[in-house]
Amino acid sequence: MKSIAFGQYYPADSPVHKIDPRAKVILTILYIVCTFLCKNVLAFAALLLSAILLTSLSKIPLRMILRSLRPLIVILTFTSLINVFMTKGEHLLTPNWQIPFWGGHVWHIKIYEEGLWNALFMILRIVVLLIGTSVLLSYTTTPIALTDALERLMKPLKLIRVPVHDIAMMTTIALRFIPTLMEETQRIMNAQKARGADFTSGGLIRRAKSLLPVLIPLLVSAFNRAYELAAAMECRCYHGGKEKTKMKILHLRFGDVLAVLLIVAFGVGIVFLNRFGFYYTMK
Amino acid sequence: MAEPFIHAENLAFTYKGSGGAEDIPAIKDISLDIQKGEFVAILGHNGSGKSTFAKLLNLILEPTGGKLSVAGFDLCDKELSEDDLIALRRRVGMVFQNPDNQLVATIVEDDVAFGPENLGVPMPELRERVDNALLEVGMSEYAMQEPHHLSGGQKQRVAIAGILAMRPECVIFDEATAMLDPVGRKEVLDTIRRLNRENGMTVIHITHYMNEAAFADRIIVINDGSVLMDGTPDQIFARRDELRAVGLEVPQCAELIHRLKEAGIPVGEGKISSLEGCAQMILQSFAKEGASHG
Repeated sequence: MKSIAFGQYYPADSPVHKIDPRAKVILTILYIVCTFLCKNVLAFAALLLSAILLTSLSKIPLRMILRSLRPLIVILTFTSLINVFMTKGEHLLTPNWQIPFWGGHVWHIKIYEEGLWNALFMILRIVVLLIGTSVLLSYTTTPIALTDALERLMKPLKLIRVPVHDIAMMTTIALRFIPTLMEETQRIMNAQKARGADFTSGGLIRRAKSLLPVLIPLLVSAFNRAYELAAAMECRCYHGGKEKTKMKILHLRFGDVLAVLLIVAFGVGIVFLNRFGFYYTMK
Repeated sequence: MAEPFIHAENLAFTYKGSGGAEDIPAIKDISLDIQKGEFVAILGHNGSGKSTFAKLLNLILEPTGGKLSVAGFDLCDKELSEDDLIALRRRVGMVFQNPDNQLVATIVEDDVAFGPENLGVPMPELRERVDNALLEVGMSEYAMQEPHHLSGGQKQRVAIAGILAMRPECVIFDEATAMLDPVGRKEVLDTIRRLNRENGMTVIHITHYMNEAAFADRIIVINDGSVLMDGTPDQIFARRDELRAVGLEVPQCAELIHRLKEAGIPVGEGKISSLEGCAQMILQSFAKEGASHG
């Protein structure tokens, strides 16, 4: 159980890892906007190029990225099929494709060139969206840095009485206890197995039922832990977020600002590329 | 003598029974003084009230009777302000039994910084405190590790560092060694002893291990919510039968001395609390034997 990784963080020494987490959150949002700005072949080519560039900069192995794309295959197939068959355009590619049904009914298959383009663009958009967010955030930022960044970025929300500090503290503790509780789950399961419990056979309902004797002790122990942790935190003078100082102060550096400026420039570039009526432009 | 660091007088605490359950008196009558710089072991069987007593000392629990003052604060004062409470807990730190349940951060040094951050210690002093605390418990090289990759003893040392970073005058170890393996227990115990000997920290070590109590300057045996014995380890270990009556066993070497005495071998008095002391006593008895026969 020693190899549990928090989230998907991939430790490496790269320029992307070094960007301030606050800047990264903003970069990710801007990058998502960029993927939605793309309208034609040129713009999508630029987008794809940027994703490749970003990945190579981050030093994350390609197979990790490809593995993270695997769960998308279903969604990608589904959306592209819908796009291929449902888009109506001007250039019909299949003038005479018909499938006969019972009783003289005939289904006309109409695939337009526009549909194919749309499907391609949609696939590209989703893939780049995922690569962009995972490279910019989940693979290169520790969850704790992310929590910290979100706490700082959400600070203005304190004005409307959102307990920003408490949310951040709870997230930190949750992250801290994930491996502890996983270890505990394993221990309880082993203890139940030693007494003849069977977690692997039977249907869905039976398996879910067999997990009950694991979940109940786990829950009880989690409450006990929470109680002890609260006492320990009180002993360490925890009294909410007021007058609290921070050991790790985040500093926005020139590189972080530059990265944000670059992505804004990239967005402007894409809008510019959209103006060229190259092949096909999405509506 | 100066005002004691901890002063308890007829201290009592009762757990209020909820939902018709009976009230449970955990502490019935405890009166004692603990001076600054002392290393006190509090011994007791399960359910003797020793952990409850510890929790009263920094007001995790509020006394229900008697008097208790710690570090100049009157803990029975119902109007103790939040600032006073924080000041008290800064001066009297507490390390708990389960190392997993007292670490809050996902990186060792962030966890050590938690206490001083709460106290509002500014940078760069904060950094210095964290580094010093880690150095003191010998965990500097693990500063950037994640706690769940450490052993029990190491985690417990990180927890101690987290308390030290608040610069307390007294640290209470509430069965801090109970969940550790022998190696981890030794690591933690060595750290505790060093804190007392080298830094002059007041240490209150709550345990049911007799051989750990032997390292203290003074042992207080608690049974059934009251003080049963109070003295040096030598004085306490000489009272084996009374200890046994409350479910506590003296260390093996002390047991040996007692058995030798019972067998009629004249071992005399000596430092029964340490291995070397017991060996000395046995040697002396040989010498006496030799002298009487020779």
